[in-house]
Amino acid sequence: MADTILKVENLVSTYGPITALKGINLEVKEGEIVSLLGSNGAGKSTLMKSILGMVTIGEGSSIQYNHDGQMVELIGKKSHQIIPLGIAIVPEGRGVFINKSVEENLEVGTFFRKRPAARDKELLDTVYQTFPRLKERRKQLAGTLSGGEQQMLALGRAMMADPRLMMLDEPSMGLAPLMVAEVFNVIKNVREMGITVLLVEQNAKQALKIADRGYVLTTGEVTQTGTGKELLADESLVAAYLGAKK
Amino acid sequence: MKKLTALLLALAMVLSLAACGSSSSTSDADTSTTTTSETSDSTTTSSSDTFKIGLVCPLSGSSAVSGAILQNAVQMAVDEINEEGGINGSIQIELISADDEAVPATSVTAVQKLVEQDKVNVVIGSQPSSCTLANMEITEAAHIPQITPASSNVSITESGNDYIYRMTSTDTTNAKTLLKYAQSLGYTKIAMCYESSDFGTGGYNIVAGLVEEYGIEMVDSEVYNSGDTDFSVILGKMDAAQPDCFFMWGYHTECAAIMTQMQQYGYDYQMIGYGMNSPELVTLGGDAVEGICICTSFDAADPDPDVQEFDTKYQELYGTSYDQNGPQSYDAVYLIADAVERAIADGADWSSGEVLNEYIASAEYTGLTGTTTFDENGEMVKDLMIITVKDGIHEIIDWQ
Amino acid sequence: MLVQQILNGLTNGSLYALMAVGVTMVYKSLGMLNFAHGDVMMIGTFICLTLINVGGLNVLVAIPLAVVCSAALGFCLERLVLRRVEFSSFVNLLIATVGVSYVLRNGAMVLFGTNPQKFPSIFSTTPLDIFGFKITPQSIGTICVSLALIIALHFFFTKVKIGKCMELASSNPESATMMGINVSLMRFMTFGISAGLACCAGVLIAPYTYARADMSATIGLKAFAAAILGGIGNLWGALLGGLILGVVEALGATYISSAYRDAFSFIVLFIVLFVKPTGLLNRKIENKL
Repeated sequence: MADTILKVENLVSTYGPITALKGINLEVKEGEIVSLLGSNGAGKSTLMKSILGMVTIGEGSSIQYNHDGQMVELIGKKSHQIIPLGIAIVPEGRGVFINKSVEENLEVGTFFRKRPAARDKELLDTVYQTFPRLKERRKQLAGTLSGGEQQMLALGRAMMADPRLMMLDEPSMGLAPLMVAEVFNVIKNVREMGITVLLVEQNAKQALKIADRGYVLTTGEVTQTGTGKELLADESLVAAYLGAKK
Repeated sequence: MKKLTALLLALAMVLSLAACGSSSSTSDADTSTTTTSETSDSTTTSSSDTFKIGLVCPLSGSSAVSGAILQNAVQMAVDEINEEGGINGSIQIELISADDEAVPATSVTAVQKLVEQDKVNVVIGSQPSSCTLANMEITEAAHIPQITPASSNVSITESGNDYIYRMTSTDTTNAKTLLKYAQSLGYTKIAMCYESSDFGTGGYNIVAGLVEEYGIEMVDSEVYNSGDTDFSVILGKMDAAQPDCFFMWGYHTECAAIMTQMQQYGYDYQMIGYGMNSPELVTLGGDAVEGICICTSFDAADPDPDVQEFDTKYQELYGTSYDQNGPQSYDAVYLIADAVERAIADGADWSSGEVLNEYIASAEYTGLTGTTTFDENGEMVKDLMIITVKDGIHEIIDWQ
Repeated sequence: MLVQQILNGLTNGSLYALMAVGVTMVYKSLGMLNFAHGDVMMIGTFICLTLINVGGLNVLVAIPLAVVCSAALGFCLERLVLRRVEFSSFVNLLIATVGVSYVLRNGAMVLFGTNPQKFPSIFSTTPLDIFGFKITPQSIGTICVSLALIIALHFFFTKVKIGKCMELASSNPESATMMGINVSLMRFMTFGISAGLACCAGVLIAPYTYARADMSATIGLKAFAAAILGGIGNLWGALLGGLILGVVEALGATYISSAYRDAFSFIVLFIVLFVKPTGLLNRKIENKL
């Protein structure tokens, strides 16, 4: 029975007067790929930011993370305390540092986890192997890369953090279909490396294909959950979301 | 661009605020407040012969500090004379002070009271030029002599008023002294730097107008602003004009900086000037200001025992510092007493305003501030002192 | 004369550059101009002077102490004042810093008086004759120290981890947060370092200008002009802007008019902004706030 890596209970998140999340329950187990679906405004990004401690959380909420076998409460901690615990994010819109080079961006991933230099080198090699184009362009400024390359960079940077849990926020957004396929391939590889994945996507089909389990968010609430296959087979879901991708 | 505009507007705002704010600290006057009484302080004797001196000056309001100096010094002189028995040994002085609050209209009223009600024999005052210009008509009409020990506006002695006298230096007196001194040293070419304020510009204009009379040519003139810190440019230009010496009309802060930089750039010229006579000059300038020659009507460094006695006594009595108006007011009282004594010796009637006026006009009195005589306009004719800095101490030069 | 004035200009310019760097760092990190920057410089200078005159410390010992105190002052300002204003809006922050500026300036007048005070120089002031041009070791020292500090900062921001984090926190706070950078701490430190730099500039310039409560009046504004001229937010821009301003000022005063010396900096600034609004070295339009 795989360990629970992340357990979210009754999460309420607010932006000023707006309640973006109205009581979310979800769970991610070790080695899983969990996909979060929902249209714009459903609260997917808010959920990610909540986990990272960047949003105001309501009372009674709980986000627990498995740190070295102990379940640790993340609510109340600040981002810079949460991330070194082993959570990495590939932000919406990539979030790469455009005035820094590819190399420098990747390096940022290594800042906050204490480990030997040899491991850093290992990770860098892995990233370059996974993304040969990044290796070619390693001295280039991130701002000069194409959208797809920036996505790879963001992914690579997250990989450099040697995380236990990797969260991806809309990784396929704005990418050409070939690129999208590549991205999802990489996500599968990431899981092979032993990293647990929480994936937020509007591209429901792809997201569910690789997912072990999924949740559907509608205006701040979980409206459906099940395994990837179950959700893919669901007619109403397919109708609702298969039109709303990209 | 909108944000940049906002930034620039903010910059302009701060610029203007800074400009307003920075004009405060250049004043040389370093006095603190004292409380003085307005009422007269006199010892009337049984003799019907008393001599009444009316003093008009600001004793309240923003110029109170300046006016207090006149009050204190005059009081000191009056008390001294009365202790010795009075003028000529027998005539006690009654001092009647009136506060004009540094307001011309009030000053007029004050002098009217002194002349008509108190029937004073002579008026000393006021300190601000605006007040003196306004009130001197009153004494003129009443044929009462009036001496101002502090107002420097040139119009005072150029208005045809036969009853007004001035016992403080004007820019003209200062300029003449400086030029005469330069001439005595054999200089024929000067380069001058001056502060852009009314003070500096006024001084520059007068010097420039007088140089020819002394056989001197002004080969360069440069202006600087109060608060400037880098004088390399103006010094370079002054040096390039190849003068015999430098002239300066400004205050001690910039003077210290200028002379420091002269030292740094190796500009080895004699500096002669006005306005920078302050203890702070040596504090700021250190050895760079050695040898500077400054014209002044009074310097507490004067070893003359009378000066030292005045300085000590003033400090003891009033515990505050004073500027040149103090000794000038003190000398005014003594000059008046001397005029009365000469009148008595001639058998003349000093209680007549016209008569007293004659004797004041012909005064030749030597006191704390040197020998004072008056020209036909009532302007003080006096060779001012030149002091120099030697080993960090002010020293009076004997150059006449 | 020309070369002499260029040398003078470079000396002043390197000081403007040092101040401009502090200004630009804060702008980059917080998106605002710290109008109290010049007054922090002034306070740092007075702290140093007090340590020397009252504490009897040697200049070389007093300076690092004063720099640390200034940095501490910077930290306090960030925590107490700016945090309260909670980075709410551009205008609020501006006003807050103007307020701080008045408090510092008037406080200094109360504590240290309004008279300018002599400040010792760490370098000798006897002029050296180099190819017929007079330059003092003080000038040379000023230029070298300023350059050294700026270069050191550059290395700090590009090679040292904390420096890199500060740099990232400034340019992209949200992404930086998501990478685990403590952006709030980075902002705090930016302010502190900026204040420390201001103190360095102050102790280098005070031997020329005397320590005075209104020191910030011209230097402060020129620092902003230099930072904007070179491209606000850009470290090398601050250096370039400062040097250009210093030289233009010196040459303008020499060949055009010495009375309007202070105006030249601003004239150049307006011209450059007209032609290239982002400043000399900035490539992109700053889209902060």
